[in-house]
Amino acid sequence: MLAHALIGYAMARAAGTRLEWLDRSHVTAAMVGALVPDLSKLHLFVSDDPIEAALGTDVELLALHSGGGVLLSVLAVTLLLECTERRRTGWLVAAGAASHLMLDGLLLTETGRTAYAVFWPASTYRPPSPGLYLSGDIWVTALAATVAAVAWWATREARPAG
Amino acid sequence: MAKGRLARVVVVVLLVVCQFGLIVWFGNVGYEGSPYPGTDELAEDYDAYVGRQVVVYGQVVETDPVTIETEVDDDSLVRYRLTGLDSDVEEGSYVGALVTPRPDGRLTVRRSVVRGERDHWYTYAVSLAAGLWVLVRVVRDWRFDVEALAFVSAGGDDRA
Repeated sequence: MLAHALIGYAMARAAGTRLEWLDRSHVTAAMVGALVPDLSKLHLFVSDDPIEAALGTDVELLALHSGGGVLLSVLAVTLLLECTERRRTGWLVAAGAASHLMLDGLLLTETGRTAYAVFWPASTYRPPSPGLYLSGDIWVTALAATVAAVAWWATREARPAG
Repeated sequence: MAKGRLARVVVVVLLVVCQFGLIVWFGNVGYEGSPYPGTDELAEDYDAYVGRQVVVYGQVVETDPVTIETEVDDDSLVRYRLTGLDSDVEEGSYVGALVTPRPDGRLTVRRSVVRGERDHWYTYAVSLAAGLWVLVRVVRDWRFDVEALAFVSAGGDDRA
């Protein structure tokens, strides 16, 4: 998750060299987007048992990490923004979320395919994954931190704070 | 303005309802959203999955033979013995594996991902840190305008 936030940060800083209106609040928005799919991790903190018992059916929070779930989350976040920011900041949130899904697509999994259904509910197809890293690999975080640091350094003149 | 605001709230509520619908729907796609049966299904009816492919995940409680322990649906703990695991594991490691259950109760490993216990907790810790970092930035850079029912950028005079 830290790597996702760092990459979101780096992407937004880089985008800032082209987009004059982009300030630190927009960088934050891209970082929020980069963490949006991990709303599904709520299952680590709350049990879905009471909900399943009440509804009499299985529920699966991983739906929030599917393409459709992420899209709905991004739309909800976007609609909660002030109207002048909605369009442009919404795209940054979406870009952050997209970067999360793409980076997760490279994760090493025991099935050799992506860890979840990226295209669901359009399709349950899980593309093959090259298995480049595990989410707990320290070097991945270190690499993302380096990218973020370079992005900060390279753009610090243009945008002194953020 | 008030009308637009109301419409927006209605749409956000609708999106949340749809999101909830997805969560229920996904719980009923395949094996709770997974293409393979998992430890819950295996614990329920082992024999039904003998010779098929199942994904298991658990913590190593014994290394010779490699045995993993996992919690299943009814909150009980079940243990599985793995054979053919090609990577070294220590007690406490977490193993995710695509396996084929054998009639003798062992699971033949086809592919596996092993993660040390430290890495497991490290992932939790840095993820929590990331969540807090972004939360702090949101609180600093955005504020919720109750009047407009929207987040507004707090960086008005601090563009940077």
